Amino acid sequence: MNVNGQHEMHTDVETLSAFTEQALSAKERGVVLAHLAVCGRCRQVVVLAREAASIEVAARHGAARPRAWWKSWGLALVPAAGVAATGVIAFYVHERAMERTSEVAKLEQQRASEKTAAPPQRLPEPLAPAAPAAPTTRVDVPATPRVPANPGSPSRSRETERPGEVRREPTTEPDETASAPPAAPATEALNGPATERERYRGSPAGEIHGDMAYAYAPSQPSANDKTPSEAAMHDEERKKQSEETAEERRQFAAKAATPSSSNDSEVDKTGIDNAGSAPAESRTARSSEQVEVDAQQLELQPVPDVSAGSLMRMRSGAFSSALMARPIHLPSGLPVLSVASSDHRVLAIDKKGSLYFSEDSGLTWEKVKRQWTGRAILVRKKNSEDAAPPVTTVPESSGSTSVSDTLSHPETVFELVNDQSELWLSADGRIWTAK
Amino acid sequence: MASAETVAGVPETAGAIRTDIPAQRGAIDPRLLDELWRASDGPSWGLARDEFDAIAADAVAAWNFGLAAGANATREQQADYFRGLRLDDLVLARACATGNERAWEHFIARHRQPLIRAAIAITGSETLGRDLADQLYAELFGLNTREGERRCPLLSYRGRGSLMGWLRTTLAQRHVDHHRREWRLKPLDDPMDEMAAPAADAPQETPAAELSQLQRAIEQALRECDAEERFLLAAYYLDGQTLLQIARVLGVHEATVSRKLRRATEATRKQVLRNLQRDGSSRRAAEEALGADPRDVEVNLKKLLQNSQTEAFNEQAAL
Repeated sequence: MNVNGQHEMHTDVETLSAFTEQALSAKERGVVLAHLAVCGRCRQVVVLAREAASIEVAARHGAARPRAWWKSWGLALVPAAGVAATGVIAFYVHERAMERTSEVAKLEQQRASEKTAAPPQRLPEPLAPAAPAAPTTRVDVPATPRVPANPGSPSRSRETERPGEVRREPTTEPDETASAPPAAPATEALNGPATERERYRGSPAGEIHGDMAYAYAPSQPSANDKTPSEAAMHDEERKKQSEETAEERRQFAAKAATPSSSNDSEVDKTGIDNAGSAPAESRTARSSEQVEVDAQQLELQPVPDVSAGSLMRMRSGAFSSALMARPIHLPSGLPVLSVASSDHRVLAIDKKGSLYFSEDSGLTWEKVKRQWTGRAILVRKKNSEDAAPPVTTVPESSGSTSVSDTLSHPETVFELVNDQSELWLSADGRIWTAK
Repeated sequence: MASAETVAGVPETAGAIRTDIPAQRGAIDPRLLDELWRASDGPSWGLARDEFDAIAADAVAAWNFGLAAGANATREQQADYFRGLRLDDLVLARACATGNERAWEHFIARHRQPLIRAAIAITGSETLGRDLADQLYAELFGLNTREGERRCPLLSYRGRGSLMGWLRTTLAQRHVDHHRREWRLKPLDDPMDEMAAPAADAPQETPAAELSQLQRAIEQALRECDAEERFLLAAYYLDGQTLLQIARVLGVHEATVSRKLRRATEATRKQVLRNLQRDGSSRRAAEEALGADPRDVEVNLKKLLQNSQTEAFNEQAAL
């Protein structure tokens, strides 16, 4: 300790340094503390020296100290987060697939039970769960021009539309079975749909596909849409229909085992009205097809005439349906609205009206470029022999040349119907031509 | 060897190693001196044995192994004394002071950059820090002269602490002194300047007699505090240092400083109350007096502590 003068009365540097480094004895430390208590200058010196030492020590340790273990995991956290996210997504997809599988299994179970039970009473039941995955294979039977309506008037076709009921084709549809009178089948077709529509109005499926129901909601029959005779017959038949439906269904159950190919056309024309005279097998298949159509909610197929050849096609259609029983996952992620298949080729329309094509039974999908107007709501299969007659009847103004070429091809022809009931044809599912 | 390796550019300093101290040199046990030489890293940078012996003898001559003057130290006492020294730093500092070139090279390689970093940390500015470090480096090199003789500050280093700590403290001292000179000997931060000035327009509700009694009680209570409590109170309340800064100085945890500071404050308050009661005030009156506006109390704590500085040095001088 220097005592030579006022300035040098401060504690010397070495003592302060030793105090800072805790190198003094307790006695010396007390003396220095007593001085520091009264000397602001030495307190400042000690504090500054200690701060500098702390910074030096921190810099030395910072250079020598390895990084904290958790800091080295910083880069590893990124892939870990990615793996975790992938796991979550995979789990979600798996759960969703399992859910769909269970739904499809439930649907298949319901279908199986429908085949064994009386079909007419169970028609509306599979509507709700079967919507996304229910494949639809159209019954390819020769269409008959039962409805002599104007093809340019969609309201006419909508009049006969209803869920679960095949829709009759426009009058421009070639009439292969020209022997049947046009009026009578139309009346028969109107009887059945009216009753079915009343029944389906309260079905939950209408709520599920509310948008599509809205699309067809304005299709109320008007006096201008049909002929007076049709309107009159329609009213009468609608009244009778409700009274006769229960009894006819009972008759259908009783006569289901009796094959009667001669009544195939009647079965197809009247649907459940003449179910009692229909063969049991075709009846069952027909019912199954109706269920699938119900699930799609927009299957507006015309009432086909069931013939002996059509039964085979119905069987093949059932086989295709079985192939398509697995859930269909379109690239858009939307529920399937309509499905048609031929061998391994599958066409599907999602809820937005986009058409997808698959060549491997639905394993992979490609989106078909939009070549039609309006909103696609239905796709169906039409074999070449069924499509052959239109070659002579298709108007030339509606692209008959390409259609003729397409229809003359021996392969399957797909049909696409938009919300304006306009028809497009395609032989390969990719190139579509307006009919 | 050392004489031959004296740096040509470095003049001989007044504190050059004296090798003609037979009594001091002979006082160190030869075997202990051999052990110290073997343990020293002086040979690594070219220090000769006789130079080492001279430096050790010079370190002993000033303190006599920490014993009273004239007392003969045993070998164990000598060993304890040298164990308490930073002998390597001491040898390096003395070798540098004598102008040993290899010692300076070793010093520069070892302490040059830390010296600059410490100066920058102390000044808070790289420019000022480098200037401060260069100034000290020039002093260490022996450019300053007094009465015609070069004065190397390294000669004042006696190895009680580390050489780097000594250098840092020297830098801090230079910086504080420079700052105080520039600010007319005002401390770096003097919050008491504002606190000591009483408010001119403050209503003086407490009677003057009670205030003077309170001032005496406070002064007496502060004088009765021990050194550590006074240091804590001064560092925290006068200098405005943080608990962490105080803890670093004392080498304890800041929680310990906080606890000690709270105890010191409570003890001081109780002592003030006792002093007031001892002067004739009732407890209630004493507590009411403590509730007086601090601006009314003309107690300059800094001045009070400065006045006690003489007492502290008297205590130290008596040691």
